[in-house]
Amino acid sequence: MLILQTLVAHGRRHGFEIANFIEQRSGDVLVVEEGSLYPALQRLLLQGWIEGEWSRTQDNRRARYYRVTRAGRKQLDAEIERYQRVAAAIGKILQPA
Amino acid sequence: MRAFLGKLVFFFRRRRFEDDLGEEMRLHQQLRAEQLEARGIAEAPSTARRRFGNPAALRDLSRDVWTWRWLEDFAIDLRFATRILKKKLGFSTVAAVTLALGIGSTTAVFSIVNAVLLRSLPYRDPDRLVAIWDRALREKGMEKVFAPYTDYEEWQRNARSFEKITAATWAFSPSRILAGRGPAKQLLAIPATGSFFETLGARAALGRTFTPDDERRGCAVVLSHGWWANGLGADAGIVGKSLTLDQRECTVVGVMPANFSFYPAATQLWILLGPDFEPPRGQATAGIFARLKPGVTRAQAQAEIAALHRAAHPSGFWHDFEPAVYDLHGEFTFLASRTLRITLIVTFAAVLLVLLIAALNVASLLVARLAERQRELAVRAALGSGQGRLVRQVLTESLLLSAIGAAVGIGLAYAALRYFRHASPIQLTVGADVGIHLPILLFAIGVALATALLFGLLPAIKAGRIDVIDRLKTGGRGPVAGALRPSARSVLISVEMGVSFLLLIGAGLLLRSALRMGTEPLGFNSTNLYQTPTSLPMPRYREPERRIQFYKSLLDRLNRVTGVSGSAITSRIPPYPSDGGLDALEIQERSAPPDQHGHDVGLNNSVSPRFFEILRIPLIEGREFLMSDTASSLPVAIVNEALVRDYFPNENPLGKQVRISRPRNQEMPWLTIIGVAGDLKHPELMNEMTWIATPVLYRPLYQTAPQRIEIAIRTSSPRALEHEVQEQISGLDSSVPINGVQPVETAISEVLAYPRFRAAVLGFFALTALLLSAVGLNGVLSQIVAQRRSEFGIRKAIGAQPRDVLWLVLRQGGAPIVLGMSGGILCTFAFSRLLSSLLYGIKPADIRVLLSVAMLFVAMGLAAIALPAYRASRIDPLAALRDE
Repeated sequence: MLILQTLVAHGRRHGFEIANFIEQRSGDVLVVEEGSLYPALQRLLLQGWIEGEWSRTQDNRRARYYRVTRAGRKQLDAEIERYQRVAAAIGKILQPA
Repeated sequence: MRAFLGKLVFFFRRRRFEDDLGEEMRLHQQLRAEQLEARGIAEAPSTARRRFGNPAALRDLSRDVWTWRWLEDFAIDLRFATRILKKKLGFSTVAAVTLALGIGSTTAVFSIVNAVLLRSLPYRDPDRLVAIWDRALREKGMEKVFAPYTDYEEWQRNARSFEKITAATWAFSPSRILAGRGPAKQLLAIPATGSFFETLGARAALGRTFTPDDERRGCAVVLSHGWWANGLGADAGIVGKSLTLDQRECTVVGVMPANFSFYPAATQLWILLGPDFEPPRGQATAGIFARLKPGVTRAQAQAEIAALHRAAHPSGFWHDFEPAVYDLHGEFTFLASRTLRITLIVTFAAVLLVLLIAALNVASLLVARLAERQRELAVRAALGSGQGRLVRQVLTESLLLSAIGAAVGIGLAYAALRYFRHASPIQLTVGADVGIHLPILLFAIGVALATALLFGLLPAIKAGRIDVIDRLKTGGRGPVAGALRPSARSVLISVEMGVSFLLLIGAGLLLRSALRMGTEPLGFNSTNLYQTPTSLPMPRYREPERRIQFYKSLLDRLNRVTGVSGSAITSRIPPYPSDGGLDALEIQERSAPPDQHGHDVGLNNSVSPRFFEILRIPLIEGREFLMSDTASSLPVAIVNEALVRDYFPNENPLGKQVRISRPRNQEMPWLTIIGVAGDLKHPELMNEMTWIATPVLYRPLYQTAPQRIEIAIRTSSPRALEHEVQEQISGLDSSVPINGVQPVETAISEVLAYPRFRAAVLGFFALTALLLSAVGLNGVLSQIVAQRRSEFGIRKAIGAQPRDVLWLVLRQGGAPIVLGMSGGILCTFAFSRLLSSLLYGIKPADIRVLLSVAMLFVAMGLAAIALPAYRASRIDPLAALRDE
């Protein structure tokens, strides 16, 4: 979900950029191997939620840029909605009666 | 779906995927390193690498997303398993053959069980079809008899439970004589009502089936496919043509399809149980078959017709009976043989036990193989194979073995069933189709999977629990650790031994029963005795004098045939079954037949002079029938010893006057007893595992002149007998049908077919089981000896004699045998209860069977122990210790 969100927010990005954004956003909360981004990207590609395309960076290095597809956007909306519903439900339970 | 396609496409561009991913990851690390360096962090490249994680593992994970990981693993496991099995060809062969035997016999037996007990009958909505028999309220041995035909008419009119109802009968020797097409032939023609085919929901292949109107319209017949094809040359234009049956013209209205059959399976055609049926319908009895209305239960139908029956028979003979409604499928099984059902159940139980032994055996072999492969497994575990992965690897090996076993087993089953169909050792239910069909194949595959799990799971779990460090330290040698100890195998072997012992006991009991039944003296001598049935066509032989004349001339002619030492005519040649009988004996000057005897003289047999002499039945008192015992002389009878025991316990029966009182027949004259003959043994209709001596009343052929007869011929040259006999009959009158001539021994074998089949099949399974367990025991002991080689070496080095080592191994191998035997004996009590209805002349706890089986068992066990024990005792202490 984080990857999809990042791509929606910032448009076309390559792997290292995505990793960087996520790192900045979550601060030190999510400490995982950076490399685990790549299996996650494969899953999104397989589901057709993102697309990858080889292109050049500003300093002219070959990199694969990822972009959210329409299906990916829908998926993200659905996930956010579900997340909010769950969050709301948790909130209610935690509210004192 | 999308993911599925993606995975398929991926398959073709794997290479590119790897390159792209590698490049991406390298770029990532490079950028990170540059970033870190810009921030002034030392050793930036290695920090970047550390933060990234293990690229190889991540690449694997990424690839896994795009592939069916389990499938790839399976392919790898399969290749590995094939290699392993090939490497240990001896082990693999033993295991595969064991499994093939187990799976093959289970499949074959299941095919028969399925055809007879599970598959529904080949009629429309067979679940609603019922058979209705009468059962005697008071007398034993008459649980199932034909009901009076009048009941059928009554229920057809008044019963509400049935959608359709019909009657068919195979009493009254249901045969008709066919003339006009070659020599006269006797055909098995089953009389049925016009509603017969409609009730079953069966259609004709050619023409049509009966309609209720046919009963009033002359003679119509429906042909079985078999007789139409073989007896009438598959004449496509037969419908509408006429056949001469019993000198009447009968129109063929239809031919049934090949897959239609009803009891009796040999039926050649169906005729109508019409108004001109003989005996008159008021006296006839028949099986009543019906289709229940949807939603009506058998119990409801039973209650309804029982009430109708009571109302219709307020007194009289049928008052003592009540109708009982049975499921038609079950009754077809019953009609095939009283013991068919239990035979199949026992056989299936036995074969499942054999399968269990086979599976245990392979499990124990696999455990042993794993013990040898511990080093390999430990290395693989150390290199990062997960526990689940190891379990799967070992399970794949089991599955492969099981698949090979199943393939060979199905082949074996196919061959066995072909032989079964060809030899047809026992009669099965009508229409039972024994073969390898799709459901049977699925069953075999299911069995194979189940066995693979059974024998594979135990070793697999053990493989998963392997202690890596420990194994690597000892280099896979030395005493085997934990769960892989041979004691686990000893338990398996003990169970196997117990099961084999159980099967052996069962087989022993059945074998002894079959032998005792086969050697039971039947009261007459069947060697060189031949028989052929015939009947005299009506109306030509309506007069008894004409029949008597024919019989006299026929016997004259037969006695002149070379090699024939004598011939006799009788209404039934032994060993005919005792049917319980519906008749009672009346004795002159004695009040009504005593109640305890009831209706037990079913065996009224008309015999020609010299009958007793030719069959070698001893005449205890009095004289044989003579040519002078004719219609014009004193009506006489010969009784057997059983009748004397029952009716004249303390009297001389000679000169007493008796007659059979019949509910429906014409009066019989009083008969004066002139002789007492020895007993014959008869099989019983309701209980096939008996030879019983029932009261029999013999009457002279020339006083009764029956229309249907059997000819008994004793000859020393049977070769041309059939031809000679047929020639003599046709020579006298070509309208008299001729039939095959059969040794009486064959008829006796038919009675013994079931006991012999059971003994043979169970014997085969028991021996297979014993052999398998012996192989298993031998395997375990060989392994133990191999593992304890150095220990035995030390023992010998410090002074143990070969005898001591021998004794050690003997004790180790003897334990499972003794354990198994004790367990087996305990279970025998439960198992033989199941068998008790199949035994003849012995009790389930027969000590002789027990002893001989135990001896065979111990001998086989010792043979299995001998080789490993000998090897152990020969161990050279020096060599053994040097290896350590």
